[in-house]
Amino acid sequence: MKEEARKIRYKLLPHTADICIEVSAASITGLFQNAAAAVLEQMVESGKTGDTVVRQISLQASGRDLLFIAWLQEILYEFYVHGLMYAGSTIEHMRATGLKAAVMFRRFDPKQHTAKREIKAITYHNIHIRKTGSRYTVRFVADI
Amino acid sequence: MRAVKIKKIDAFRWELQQEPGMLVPGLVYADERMIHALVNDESLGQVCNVAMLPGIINASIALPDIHTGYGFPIGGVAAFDRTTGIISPGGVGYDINCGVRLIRTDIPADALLASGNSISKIHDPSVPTRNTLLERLVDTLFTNIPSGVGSRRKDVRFSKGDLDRIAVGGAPVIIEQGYGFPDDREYLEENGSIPGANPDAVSDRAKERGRDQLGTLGSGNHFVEVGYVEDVYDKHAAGIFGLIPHTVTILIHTGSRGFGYQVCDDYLRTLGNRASLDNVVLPDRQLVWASVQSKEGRQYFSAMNAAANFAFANRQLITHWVRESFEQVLGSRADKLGMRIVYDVAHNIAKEEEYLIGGKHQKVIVHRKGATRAFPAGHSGIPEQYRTVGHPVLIPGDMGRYSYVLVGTAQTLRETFGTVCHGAGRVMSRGQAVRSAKGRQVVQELKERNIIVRGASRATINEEIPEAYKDVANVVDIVEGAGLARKVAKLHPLGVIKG
Repeated sequence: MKEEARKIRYKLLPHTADICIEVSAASITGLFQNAAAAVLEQMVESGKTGDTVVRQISLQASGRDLLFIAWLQEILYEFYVHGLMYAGSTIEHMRATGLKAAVMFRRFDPKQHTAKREIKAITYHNIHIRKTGSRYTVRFVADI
Repeated sequence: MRAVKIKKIDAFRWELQQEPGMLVPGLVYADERMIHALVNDESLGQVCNVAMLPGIINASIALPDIHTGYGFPIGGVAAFDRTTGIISPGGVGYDINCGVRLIRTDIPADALLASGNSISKIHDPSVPTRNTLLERLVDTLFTNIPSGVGSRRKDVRFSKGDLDRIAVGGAPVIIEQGYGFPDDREYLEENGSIPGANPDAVSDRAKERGRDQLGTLGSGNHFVEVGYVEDVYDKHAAGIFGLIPHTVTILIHTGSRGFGYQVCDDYLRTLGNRASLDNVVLPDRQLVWASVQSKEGRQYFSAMNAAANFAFANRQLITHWVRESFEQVLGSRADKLGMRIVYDVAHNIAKEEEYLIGGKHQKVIVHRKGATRAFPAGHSGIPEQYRTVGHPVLIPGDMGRYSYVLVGTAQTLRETFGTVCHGAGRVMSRGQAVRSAKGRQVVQELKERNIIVRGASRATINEEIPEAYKDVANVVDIVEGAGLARKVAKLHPLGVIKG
């Protein structure tokens, strides 16, 4: 499913040492996409300009919650190793144990973009994707 | 919030009584005021979760800087039998061998201040600090030591082969390349090189994330702090450590950067997928574990040790640039300035150690998650030079108050697996801190208190405001009151660089 331009729906919840993010969306793919955008927004200011590249990402995990973490880990890896900021995605195929996506990234440029904080990792602490009515919600703690 | 049953043992010890699933009780070191503040905190539930892990010995322990983490609480300690117990990446954390290094000098603190100023007037906001050697020094440190998100120093590059050698050999590999004094290694925990590290157990991704980050501070609560010895409580121990009243000191707080974060991530993923497939019930997914003697357990241990060695090398490279910065500003060689390492100690790590448990010597894997090793006098695991007093235990506070140097007592070996607190511990969330700092000029406020701060990001400085932390003096008083450690010296900050 292609991600549409929209305001990301997420909120920051109190956490003493790290940051706790709650994301919701109308679809499971939207949840993954919103979470990726929320993570980037916590790391970089003004990350919405710059050259783009598209990468194919294929992930597997033993369940949907673990797949969600693997997806966000991929976003962090591309940022820290290749200087690529998540800029949107088309999730072409998704099931509980795997996904395939075409992910668009922008190149981080210190002249254009301001780094806010380093997210070391996305933790598994109390991770659980919930569906209430027609909406999907997840809370996760990012170690900073 | 889960209700935890708390029983007072004495003024500084509280038992978290066993609930179904807990194999041992929890043991929290706190005073009356602190334990009441913790009652509605998730951290006590996290102490109970750790008590459910297979093979845990004696108690799930929390030190007085306890605060909410993920999996283990921060300030948590747990030991597991080396043969029948487990090892958990969540009990070490992402920043493997995050730790603190202290450097001493012969430089009188007054020499860094403006003409006519002295540390006796340091708390007087009318005394200027502008254009002092101190300000130049902090600016030079900030230029020479890469800090902030994804920071790297382009003029120093390490090949994959270099990285593998560092993963096996730690700080001594860097020292041999000229980044340090030949005897630096003698003042590092494990001589800066933990045996049993295997770079083949480390993923290419971890090496990719770490390669450009060796010698970088990072972000968050990491720092380099120039300070001075404000008070000495134990003249004998301070003398052995080379801590002279009113001389300049440097604290370095950082860890294994992306290398360690990725090692933790990789093994959490592997063990988490296995636990999920095997239907293993966990109190928290972050607490996935492997038997110490299993293939996965041994692999994680050797990868974690590689990351720990990376962290020792990281602090060594930063030490080199700290010395270089002092040389540039003061125009004198670092050895002539007496810039010797006092000690370097980890506070996020799992170590194989031996303790007397139930009258028998037993090898255990001690997990320290935001907790500092504190081996006392006579312990064979500490440098010969410090054998009569114990190794220095480095407890940084916040950037506006003070830090402490302690030594452990024999009691810490009996009660807490040779471990004490690691810092002040946060009391405010980062969001609360930022709201509290809104409309304020935190750097200017600290400057008026004669503390020069430079940060890669204003957001980080605001998140790290002094009041976001407990007063480390209270934390240290509890550790001392409980008989786990003794105060040796107090350090006062003069200048801080933050990530």
